[in-house]
Amino acid sequence: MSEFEPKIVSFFCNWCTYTAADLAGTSRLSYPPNIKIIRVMCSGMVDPKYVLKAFLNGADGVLIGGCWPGDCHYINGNLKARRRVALLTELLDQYGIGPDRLWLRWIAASEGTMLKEVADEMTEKLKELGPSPLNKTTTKVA
Amino acid sequence: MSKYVKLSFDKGGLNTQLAEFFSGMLENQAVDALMAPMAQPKKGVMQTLVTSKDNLEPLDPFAPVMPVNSAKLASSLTAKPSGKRIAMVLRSCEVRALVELVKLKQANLDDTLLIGMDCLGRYENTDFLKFQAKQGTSESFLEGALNGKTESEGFDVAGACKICEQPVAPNVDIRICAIGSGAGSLYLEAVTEKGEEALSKAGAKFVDAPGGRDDAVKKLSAARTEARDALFASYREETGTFDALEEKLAACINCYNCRVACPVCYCKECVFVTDTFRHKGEQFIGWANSKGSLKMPTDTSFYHLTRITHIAAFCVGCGQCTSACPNDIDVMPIFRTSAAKAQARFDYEAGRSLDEPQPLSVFDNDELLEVTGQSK
Amino acid sequence: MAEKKPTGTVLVAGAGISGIKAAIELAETGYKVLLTDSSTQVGGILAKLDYQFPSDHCGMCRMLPMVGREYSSEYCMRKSLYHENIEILPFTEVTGVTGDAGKYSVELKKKARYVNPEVCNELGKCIDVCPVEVEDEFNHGLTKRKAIYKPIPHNTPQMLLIDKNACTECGECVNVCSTNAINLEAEDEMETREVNSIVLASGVKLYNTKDFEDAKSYAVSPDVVTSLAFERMLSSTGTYADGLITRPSDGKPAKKIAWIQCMGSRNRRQNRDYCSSVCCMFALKEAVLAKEKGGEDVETTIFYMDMRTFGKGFQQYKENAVDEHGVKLIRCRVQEVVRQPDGSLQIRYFDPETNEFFFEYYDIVVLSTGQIPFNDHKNWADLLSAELSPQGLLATEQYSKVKLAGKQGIFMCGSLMGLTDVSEAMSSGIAAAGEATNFLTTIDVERRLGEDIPEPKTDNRGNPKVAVLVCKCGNLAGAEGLDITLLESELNKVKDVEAVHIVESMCSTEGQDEALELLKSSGCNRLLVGACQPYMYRRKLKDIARKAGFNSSLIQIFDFLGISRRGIHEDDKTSWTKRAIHEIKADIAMMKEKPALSVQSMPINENALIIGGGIGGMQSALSLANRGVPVHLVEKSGELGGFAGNFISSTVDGLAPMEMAKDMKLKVFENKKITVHLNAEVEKTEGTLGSFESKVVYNENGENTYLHHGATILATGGHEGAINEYSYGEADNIMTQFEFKQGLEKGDIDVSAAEDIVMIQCAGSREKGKREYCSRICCMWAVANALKIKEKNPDTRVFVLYRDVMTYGFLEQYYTKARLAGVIFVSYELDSKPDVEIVEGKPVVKFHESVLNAPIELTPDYLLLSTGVDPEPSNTALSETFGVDLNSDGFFTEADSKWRPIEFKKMGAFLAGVAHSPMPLPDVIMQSEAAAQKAFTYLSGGEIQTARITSTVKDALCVRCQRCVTVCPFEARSYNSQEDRIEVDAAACQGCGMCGVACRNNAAEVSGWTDKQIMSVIDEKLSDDLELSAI
Repeated sequence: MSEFEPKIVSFFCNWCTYTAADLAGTSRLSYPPNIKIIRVMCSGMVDPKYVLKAFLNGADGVLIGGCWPGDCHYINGNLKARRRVALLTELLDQYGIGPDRLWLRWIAASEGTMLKEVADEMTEKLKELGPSPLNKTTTKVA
Repeated sequence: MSKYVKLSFDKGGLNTQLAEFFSGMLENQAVDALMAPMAQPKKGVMQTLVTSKDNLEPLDPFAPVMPVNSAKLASSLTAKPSGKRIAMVLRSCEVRALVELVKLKQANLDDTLLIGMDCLGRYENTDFLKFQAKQGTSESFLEGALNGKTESEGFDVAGACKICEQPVAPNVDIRICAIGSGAGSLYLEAVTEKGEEALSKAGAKFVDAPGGRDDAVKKLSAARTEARDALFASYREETGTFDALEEKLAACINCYNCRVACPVCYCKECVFVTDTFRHKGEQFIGWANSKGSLKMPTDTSFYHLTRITHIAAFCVGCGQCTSACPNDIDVMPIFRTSAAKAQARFDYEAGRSLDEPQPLSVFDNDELLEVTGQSK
Repeated sequence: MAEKKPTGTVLVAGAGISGIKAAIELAETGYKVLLTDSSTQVGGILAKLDYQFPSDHCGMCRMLPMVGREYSSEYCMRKSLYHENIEILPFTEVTGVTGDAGKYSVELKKKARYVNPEVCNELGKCIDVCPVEVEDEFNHGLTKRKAIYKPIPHNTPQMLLIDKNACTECGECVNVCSTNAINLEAEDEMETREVNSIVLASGVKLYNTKDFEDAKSYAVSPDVVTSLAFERMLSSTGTYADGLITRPSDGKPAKKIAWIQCMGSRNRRQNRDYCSSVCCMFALKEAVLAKEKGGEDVETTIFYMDMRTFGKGFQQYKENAVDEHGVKLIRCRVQEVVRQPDGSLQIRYFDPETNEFFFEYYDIVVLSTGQIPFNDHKNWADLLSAELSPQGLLATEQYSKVKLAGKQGIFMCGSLMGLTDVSEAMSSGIAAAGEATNFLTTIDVERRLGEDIPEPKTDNRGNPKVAVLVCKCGNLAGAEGLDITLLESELNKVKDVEAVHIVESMCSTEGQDEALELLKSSGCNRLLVGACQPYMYRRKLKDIARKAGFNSSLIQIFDFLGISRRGIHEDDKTSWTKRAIHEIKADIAMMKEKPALSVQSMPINENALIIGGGIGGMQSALSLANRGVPVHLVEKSGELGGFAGNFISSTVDGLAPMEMAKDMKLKVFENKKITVHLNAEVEKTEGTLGSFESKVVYNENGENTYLHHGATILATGGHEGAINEYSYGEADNIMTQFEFKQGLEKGDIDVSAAEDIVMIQCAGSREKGKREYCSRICCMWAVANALKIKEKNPDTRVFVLYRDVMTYGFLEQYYTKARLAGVIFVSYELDSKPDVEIVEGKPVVKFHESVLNAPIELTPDYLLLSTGVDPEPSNTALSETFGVDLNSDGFFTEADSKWRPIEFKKMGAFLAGVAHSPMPLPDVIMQSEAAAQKAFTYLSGGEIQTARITSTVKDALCVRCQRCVTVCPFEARSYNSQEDRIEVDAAACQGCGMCGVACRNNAAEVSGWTDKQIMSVIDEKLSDDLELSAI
């Protein structure tokens, strides 16, 4: 049977992490296409609804990438994001969407390498975990 | 240090005693108005607002029923100050919800006198009518409940009440103490100066604290806590998977009654009935496509999960959500278990204190490091 | 009033951060800027620094426009910079300047890149095939690059070029390039441009161990690196990886690292008698980061002469570095580094504590290299026939750090003035921009910022009809390019896409005309353009779309060379195309839900209110008034001039503040545009940027008046600090430096017979619970008084007891002068402070002399205390009144300590001078100039136009819980209790969306970033199998 390819909805902050994603690309560090990037202005802009929506629509994982504490263009958006993720983790965990499926990571503009590492790591982890319980139609590789 | 007033009553005299006391308060202008549960002309007991001592006759605070969580009523009474001083007789869960609403700028305690009554539970509205039909009275309920018997043929107090570890209301000015007060008597506890002043104005004589109260309260909350943890455990067991959750919510029809009944769901209009969730036909088709099949109405789980993220920090476990569900979905445990975890994570307890900032309104550079697990 | 359109062009030579700031400032005011840099890219030194002190973070993007977001790039500045009013010319030198004030014509040499960035498709095959490897200067030789290379890893577009010195002309790259972007025969191009004013921001050359004799005894191993190189060892785009800092020589993790300060600086024999100002903080920061990034077990030691932590917050940073992070500081001049057989680096040092010599061994030694004499200054002087100072620096007007002496309309900023930290780079850039605007003009027109084509009204309720325009010019189509056919057919399937047009080349006029025609006939209301490098002709496309009747907020430009290309093998044409299709579909989904947004025009009250009539306040007032801005100058005393202007007759560097103030007062009172309010204080103020109302109360008669103004500048100044230490007040020959100076000048004090005079520095300063900051000027005062004494009586022994002599920058020369004059400087530490007691009415001073290592006891004729600078007490009340922050020391807190030093968080309020922190007069004046410019940016136009993407309030849904107010990081949201509603200050709002998340039911939402939009993008992202199956 063909290997399971997790879908990872990834909200990247416009200033740091999205730049890192771009940098990873221009430095020819290829990261798995499972990472489906959605550019947001700030990790603090990611409403818990977005995360729930992603999971309910079959995402196997959600990755939120923001600036390191102190670097946020909007001063403290990333700190707000961290509290929300803590809340969501408590919640998702209870209903079998384990905490391993929602990641928050600080990835600065220069950290293209870290972006690749996180992307690889999370993809691998989710392949181990298998499809999310909400993912009714896992993607097949053609 | 709290001061106490003793109210002794002969059989059938509970409400008259209380009414007498409250009329004293109104008469001597300790307050200008009183909101308290009172018997309604034909049947049922509802919160009722009176401004004159002459209308206190139907007073019945201990009636085991809570048609709505009065925090919402308190909010509408005080959000825009009336200029009048209002006393409110509330249950623990009502006070705690009110505290959260104050922090959310939906209520204002400046001109209020909060009177918290010991709560031994409430029946569902329909059950209460049966209870009344069987000549059940507040006194008979109290008598039974204080001896651990709340069950009546075929029904018992609401599930939320069985696991309520806080029968005694925090953050009030005055408490009406039933627990550990001994048969045929109640104590009024002046918790704050405001409360003491009001009691004195009402012409109260202060006496020693009721001997057995503290132990009795401890004992009761201990028992309730045990019940709570048991329920949490079994519930987490049975909703360990997402399918289990969906199964529990299977009958949900997006009526949003649970949020209307919820004292801390304070939006004018829920986001789920705004444009944001008014989808186009093409979208439904799209989802049906990608999911294989699409349950209609959509967004039911989405709604409940989102609601949890909204209220998890504020939920006081009053159980009105379950009472309000037309399809008898027992949603209370969903919200309470999640709320318990969330509040523990942020070391916050809904209703505990007016001074604690609500989680997600404050944040700090060096907290929750485990979330990302990264160090520079 | 009729709006004004600024006209005129400024050449900003040098695209480091100070140049960029100057350019942005001018561009935001509405002027055109020519921003050149002789290097291959923009960003200067900061492009190499991932972290800046004292925050240890990066905040470069915070220097981007806040109100004019609409017209500039909104992405990380390490990628690049875009502003509709700035033309950026990297790799370009200024080779000639002719003309005069207000009208210069400059000759530019655009150096050949040999790669045409407009054609290059950035696949980088040329880099693969290039056989030449040389040291990569971006990483200071720690890594290698090819002869054809990307100058900066982040750059987008990547701006490849060929290093002709390294290139062997083998032609491999030419053969492999599919778009003929490479031309090895390319030549430098000369171009002449007319500008009205010039800002020099070309920075400074740094001491380089290769080129200097006196470095030989240090640079003995590849593991001895410069501080800038060490920055690259801390960066993921440098050699930092897997949480390790590694030795260049063998890649082993470095566990012991030493810093040697003052490399090249503070060296009179080498004719470098200056301090490079930033190296101390730089080293402290690197030492802290070395521990944070290399692991707490990394040992860090800094060998220094004086820890010059004179800037705002620097003293606390140093204490934190030592106390919290365990950075070790040793006061000792290290003479050499000796490489051991095992590769470790030996340092022999003298420990003043124990008075013994020690040997220590390190994995890495970092040389804190400063600036070197001043070729750039020489070159500019020749080019501009400007005068040079004795030190070989471009001479500036007295009191001004940015105005070139005798050169109308030419200014400088940033490290060209001498190495500056970020905040000074910002202030100087803004100040220079401000000065430049005096040589530019405004004319009345309808619209600012060249928005010449009116915004069409697009009905945003109408069903979305999307037109897609794909440019297939050279770098997109072709063998390695996109599969245009697949692209077209797939996009045609997308719902609501009415038309997909393929255009040959959007860069060409033909292409653009074609596009215009297609759009006019399309009957669509939304437009997606697929092209490359969107920012290169974003403005052009906007105009086209507008002509065709599209609202500019409903135009999206998709970058085929951007993220859609990442992580795909360059030969995998299909995957690239499919990914592009998928990304475009997501963009369309986002756009379909987007309403037509238009810029809001906010009327601006053109008056400025300035609090504080000291030299700073007067400077801001004159600067604004001279540019036609009406000013209210409010001074609480009965006299303009402030502390310096009323009491300081002279400074050691030859300034005469009192004289200057006298002259300024005259100008202020003469100036019709300035209304002076003496004995007056502001009691309360209300409003937002552009429309403030302040109540001014007159202390004498208690009367009051209401002022209406668009901006406020706080220039409250400070005064000499009080002291209750060292027996002050117990003997009349114990006095403060200021009292002594006064006495000397009035002739009350005669030192002709004085044998000994002792000065104690940092009296009541830089100490927990006292003034916890360095007051920055006391050391200069001491030096000044010491020199005066020596001048009057060379035989008087003058002892200066100090902790660190803060004669930073070119002030160092006066410290040297004092030492040569025989002034004796004796250092003491906090734990061994000098001891003073009164014996028979005379002070007896006991202290430890470290060189003799002996205790000394003196009964000086005078004991002088350097007591530091205190902030104005009125600051506390003002911070309440204006809703701005104070720091624990009582000075005002700026919006961002590095990147927004002149602004408050509250929009429309600015600060300058000692209100910010203690600083010497020229810095006060520079900041005041900058504050004036910040205000001018907003006041000059009569109105400001806010960005399209701002937060909104749906009043019907709002419950007034004010959570949005609490979470807004820019104080853009407020609760209006009179009208019981939430209000948004559209100018302050940055569109970050925090309010949207805090609000449960979207009563607060950012237009253009609504839940509906983002959720439909999530759908789009998840409904895609196309992409996965492709790879």
